[in-house]
Amino acid sequence: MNDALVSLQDLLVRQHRRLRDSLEATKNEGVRSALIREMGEITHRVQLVGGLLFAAQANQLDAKVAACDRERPS
Amino acid sequence: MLQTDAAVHEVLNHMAEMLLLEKGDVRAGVMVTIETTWENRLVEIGEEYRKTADDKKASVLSRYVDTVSQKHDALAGIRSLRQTLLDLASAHTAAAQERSADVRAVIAVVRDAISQMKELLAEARAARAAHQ
Repeated sequence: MNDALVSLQDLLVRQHRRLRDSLEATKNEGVRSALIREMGEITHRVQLVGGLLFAAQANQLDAKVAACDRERPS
Repeated sequence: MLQTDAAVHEVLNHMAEMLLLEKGDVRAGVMVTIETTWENRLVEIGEEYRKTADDKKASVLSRYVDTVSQKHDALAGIRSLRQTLLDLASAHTAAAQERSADVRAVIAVVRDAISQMKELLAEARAARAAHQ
């Protein structure tokens, strides 16, 4: 699951970067507005996927911290 | 300490990966989310600057510069915390193998890093809950 989220977030960030490059290359106001709206949407998705990834990793972290406790000498 | 070293190493590396996971040229994690959020904010301010009348551009420019500074501070903080976690993993191993002179200092820094990470987790969970 983490691998899919990692790939998805990376893909979204690359898309954001491509849109930013397109924005720098155009002077058309309509296209610029559309690109900025799309970048806002992509940013929101990056945040959502980031939140899901963080939650999944936090659950794994809990299990790893529990493993530390189990290995602690009594 | 030696007995728990592998598990502690894994926890600290996992925490560092939560901040930034790099697999080849693929990057993901908290740092990437924050970086993209600031980048997008800068694009919006840049666009606002383009549309603002010349006599009012200075205040937008000032906001742009402040935002660049905030972005750098946020990323530097995360980068530094990540490096601390990775250094701690090494320091813990050194202490476990009695190669470190001050085990208490290592433990104190580990506790501090874990406490910072807990705050980050709590903030992220609260932000996530607010979105749901």
